Amino acid sequence: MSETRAILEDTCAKLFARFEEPAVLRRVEETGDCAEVWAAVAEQGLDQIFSGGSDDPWRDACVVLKACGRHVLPAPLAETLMAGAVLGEAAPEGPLTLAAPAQSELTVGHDGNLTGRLDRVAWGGAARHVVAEAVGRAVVLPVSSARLHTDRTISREPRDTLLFIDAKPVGSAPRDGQPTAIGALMRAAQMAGCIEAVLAMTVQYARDRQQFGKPIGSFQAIQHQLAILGGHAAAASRVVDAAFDRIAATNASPEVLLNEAAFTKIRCGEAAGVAASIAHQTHGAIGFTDEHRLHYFTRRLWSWRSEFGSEAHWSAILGRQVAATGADAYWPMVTAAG
Amino acid sequence: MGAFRFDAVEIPPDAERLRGEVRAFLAEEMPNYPAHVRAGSWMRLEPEFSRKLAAKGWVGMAWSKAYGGHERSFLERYVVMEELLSAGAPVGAHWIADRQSAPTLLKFGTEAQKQDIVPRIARGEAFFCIGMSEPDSGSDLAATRARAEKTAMGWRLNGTKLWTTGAHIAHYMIGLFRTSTESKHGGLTQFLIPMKTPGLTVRPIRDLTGEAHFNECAFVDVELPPDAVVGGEGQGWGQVTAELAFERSGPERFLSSMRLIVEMIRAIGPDPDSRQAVAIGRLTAHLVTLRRMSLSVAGMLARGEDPALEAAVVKDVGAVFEQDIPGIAANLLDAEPSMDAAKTYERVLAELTMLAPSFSLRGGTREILRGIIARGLGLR
Ligand SMILES: Cc1cc2nc3c(=O)[nH]c(=O)nc-3n(C[C@H](O)[C@H](O)[C@H](O)COP(=O)(O)OP(=O)(O)OC[C@H]3O[C@@H](n4cnc5c(N)ncnc54)[C@H](O)[C@@H]3O)c2cc1C
Repeated sequence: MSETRAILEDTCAKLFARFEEPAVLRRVEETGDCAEVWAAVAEQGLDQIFSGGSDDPWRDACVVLKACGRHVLPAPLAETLMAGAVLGEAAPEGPLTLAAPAQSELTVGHDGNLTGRLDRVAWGGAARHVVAEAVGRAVVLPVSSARLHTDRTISREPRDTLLFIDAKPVGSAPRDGQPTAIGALMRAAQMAGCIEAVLAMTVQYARDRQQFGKPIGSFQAIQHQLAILGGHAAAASRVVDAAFDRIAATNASPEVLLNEAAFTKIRCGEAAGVAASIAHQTHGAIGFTDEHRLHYFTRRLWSWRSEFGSEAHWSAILGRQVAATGADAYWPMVTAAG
Repeated sequence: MGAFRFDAVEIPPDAERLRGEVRAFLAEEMPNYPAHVRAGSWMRLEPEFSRKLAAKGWVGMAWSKAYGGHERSFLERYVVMEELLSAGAPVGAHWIADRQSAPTLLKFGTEAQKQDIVPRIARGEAFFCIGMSEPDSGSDLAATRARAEKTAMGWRLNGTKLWTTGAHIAHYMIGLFRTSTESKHGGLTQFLIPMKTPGLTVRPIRDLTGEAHFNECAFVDVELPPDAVVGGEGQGWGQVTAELAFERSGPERFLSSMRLIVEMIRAIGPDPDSRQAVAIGRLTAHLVTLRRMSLSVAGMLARGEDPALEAAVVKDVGAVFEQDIPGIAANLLDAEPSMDAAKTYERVLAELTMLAPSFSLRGGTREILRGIIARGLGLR
């Protein structure tokens, strides 16, 4: 990792640690109010990565997204970044969020105004603007012009429904910004960071918790489960880092975005399931309580895993593409993917 | 951040050009190799083929020219290795010598050993086998019992090495022997042993595929000169650990079932049902990820870092992946494995179903690797 990105990671770690306290997490989960967290993040300019705040926005975004997952940051910073990535330079000031096209239904009136609904929008009520897809391009709508139905996911982050009637978009991108792929990459990177945290937490617990007169981490059965978790953590982290590298190197070519979304969402989603399961098994009953912090991580893994396309969704897309290209082109495709 | 180091690696353009050369060579050299033969890849020993690769400069790629090497980069070597493996080229004859024996000699050997033998390895003329395992010493490698006693003339070796892949065609073994009983780990020494030495008998052992890939090597009063020691007397344990890092770090640790993936895609055809599409997509994401991890390990080797922990991670994750594939393949096409070479897919399925159990044994078992990873996590 370059020195500037190591500094960025450090900045995130210090700042996000303030909000990683169960008391803060619980309060934001209960009220949906993340204003304080957002203010601190925006003060550091972390929301500006795709709006001129970085010379290498994809690689920097990767660091910040993983940190958002690692520290389960209770604010829509990941969403703001990736809404910015969909729009390019045209992004308005945050907080922003990104609607999943599969859960969006917007029709365009003759005056260009939009009517319809966006379902399960992450942090919908907390965002200033939402980036959504309408007739093949990305549009920006002010959340203030929507009727809001609050909903939650098991992460207890807001997943709100926004209803627009004849709403005027305040911006748009001239192209298809591939919001599904970008959303999938966002969730994958968050999962990779979160799994690292789950690994560290679980290893620490296994060293501290004593049974039969010794740390449970000295039992081979536990050691091997944690080694499996370690393998998934390493795989998730590596595939995500390489994905953002390639996207940066190819100037976010649509084809690369789609492939990388598939690789990362499939691999990290599977890793998330294994990680949560091993972490809970290792923690025993205390890890199943509200009091212990583990669930702030595992509940997020479970929600992120299913958003912007499940593993099955992306596997089917990738599998059909592979089948259409044919057996003899398979290995060349793998090496070309880098 | 995190418990392991998997850094970004960029394959340089030179190496990508080399990839094209390897592909062209393989298309020329092995057009009619049946798929089930390709499935064996580095289990298949074809000295003639190995010599052709050596003539292209694809053996000993990263070694110094002073010892017959080609001074190419580790990443160039990686590209050649993965192309050979993914095509299922029969690279078994020189594989061990190229991967670990020559690097061991170059690191620990005497000048005479290096000058005499390494250039012959690079020419594809000297093949090696690994004499580590024994009847009573598998995972517990330091329990090695085969012993070497100092004599007036040099060394006398007695004991049995087991599961020795390729011993029946190899010219040399690097064998681990006990030279002292005072310390379990400190009493081990590596020896360079010509396979023709009197008193050494090689007996092939048929494995469950019906073929003999590995052997039993019996040593009865095998006399070696004093300079047969590789590295230091009593240094065997540390040297073997370094050797295992080479043994575990390559792309062969997740590409073993590659032929079956390819034939499965061919058999399924361009219009998969959703179950098939999902399975192919999932395997592809895993494969791409493993390759990225494996390349990071190659990058560490290239920088002279010690990738032992990361290599164990890739080998463990890789073995689970390649071992799962026969079961997945059988279910996706409702196929029965067949020994009839005319039924390409069913024959490859048969081959890899039989080979798969070895993937998490050879080169260190799954349990041993997970112990290494757990230690890396700070649990041991
Ligand atoms: C195809 C093939 C090729 C091979 N080629 C070579 C070769 O060329 N040269 C060579 O020297 N060797 C070779 N081997 C041997 C290989 O290195 C050994 O099989 C391996 O080290 C395991 O030893 P073992 O078979 O004696 O099993 P054991 O060590 O007896 O293990 C049996 C089972 O017990 C488990 N176990 C053992 N110890 C522990 C522990 N502490 N904790 C938990 N579980 C444990 C193992 O993981 C395994 O599941 C080859 C093996 C195969 C299958």
